[in-house]
Amino acid sequence: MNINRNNYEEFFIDYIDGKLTAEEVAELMLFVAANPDLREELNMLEQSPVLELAGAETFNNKEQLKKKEFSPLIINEAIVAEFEGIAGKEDLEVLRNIPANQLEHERKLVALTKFHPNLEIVFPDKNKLKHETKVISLLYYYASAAAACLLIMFGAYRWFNTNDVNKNNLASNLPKTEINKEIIANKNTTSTAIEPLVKQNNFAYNKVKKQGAGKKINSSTRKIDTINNSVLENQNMAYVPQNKQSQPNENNEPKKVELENNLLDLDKNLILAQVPEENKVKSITKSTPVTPTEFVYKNVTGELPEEGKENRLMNFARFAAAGIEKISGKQARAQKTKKDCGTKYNFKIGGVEFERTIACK
Amino acid sequence: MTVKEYNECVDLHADALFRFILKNIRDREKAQDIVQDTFEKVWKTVSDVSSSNAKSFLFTTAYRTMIDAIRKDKKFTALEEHHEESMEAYKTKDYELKEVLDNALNKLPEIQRTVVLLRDYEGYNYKEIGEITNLTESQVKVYIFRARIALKEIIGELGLVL
Repeated sequence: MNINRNNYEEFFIDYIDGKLTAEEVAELMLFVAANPDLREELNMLEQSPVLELAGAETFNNKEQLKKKEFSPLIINEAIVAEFEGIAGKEDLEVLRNIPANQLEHERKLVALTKFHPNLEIVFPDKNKLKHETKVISLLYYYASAAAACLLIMFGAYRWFNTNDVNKNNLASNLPKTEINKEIIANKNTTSTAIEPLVKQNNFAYNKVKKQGAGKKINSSTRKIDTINNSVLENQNMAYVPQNKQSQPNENNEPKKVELENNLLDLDKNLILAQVPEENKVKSITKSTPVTPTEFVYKNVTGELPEEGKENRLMNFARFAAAGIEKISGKQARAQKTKKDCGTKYNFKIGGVEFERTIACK
Repeated sequence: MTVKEYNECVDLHADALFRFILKNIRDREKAQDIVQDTFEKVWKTVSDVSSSNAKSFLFTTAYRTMIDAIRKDKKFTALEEHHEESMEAYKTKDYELKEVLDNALNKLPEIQRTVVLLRDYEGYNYKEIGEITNLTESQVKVYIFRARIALKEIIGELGLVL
């Protein structure tokens, strides 16, 4: 070994550590003897305390410093779980064992797998998918309800009124002569049976609608009587005061009663005959004539016309008698229709309609 | 729902529904038909649907209508097979990330694609997705995990520079 003033310190430390052999130690002593100024430095080194070697100490938690190895699948699941926000303890443990640069790379890759909607893509014409909103005003409901109530009330009123009239007009199966008596005798007489007579005598009775804005006919007060055709035809109906024979007038003549024409014979003129109050007939017999006008009036109103009183119905009868085939008025209408064999007469008076067909003779 | 609420649903959800269906079946006209059918089906039971759960009801109905359409039309299966080959091309030429992702999405199985889109587009949780697709929560989680891992692998294979 070549000891000199440039490297002696190293040999001094080896000497102190006991690492030199005997020959090296002798050579070192010869060097120190040759350089007495270095003797003092060697003495100082020999006198300082010797540190013990730390070779016996160990790191207790070396395992904690180690990294676990995980398969790529487990690493992927841990990273995805972290991305999804559901990473558990085991996932976090895996993530701790991934090198930082690798972890960062994996995280970026997973982040790329998230899709973002392209808001420029829209459904064309959304209005086709919509349905109309119907706005129904409550006022409409209220108005409809009120109108419905009024309609029902009006219908009920008309129904009950019609029923009343029909009820009054239903006839019993009285003989014809008795029926005639009832017709004239009492204005409150209920009508005879219409239908059997109708069918029998080719006679129809219908109630017509209220006509226009004219005066409303109160059907409950109008007594509708049947017309007995056989009486008309066979008996030439007329009326004469019941006590005519017993109480003549001052001229000792019975009040002249114009001969009525057969109401249904419209080829002849009708003459309005005024009937005195005292001569109002109570009953009718086969020989008692009545004017057609009075006949019509009676059948419509249920009573004989008042003396001197113009009555629209009278005018109707007059027109009808004149042979006019069709007349329309506010409350009266007459129509004559020629048929192949016969003539059909239709009368509408004050809301009441009746017709008769006279066959050819 | 009232008629007004129904119409509000149209405004709120028709576009999202359309995007979801379109992303799944990649046919614009078919997607429009499915969306229209969906809203008509909802309209028929509009009085039984509340406005609060209208969105999930719409997506549930749309999903089922879409599945029926897919099963009837085999064209979509052929498209997926085509994409197997096209992915190789992306390795050798320039590409955009979005395009890669779209094609990667198309490679996924239908159910994985659906759950991922419901998760990412609409932000549904696993339970809600399960209700829409008639899956359990665990199944949804598994499908999403598989989808993300598959997509990550595809992107990683292409060596995208991040």
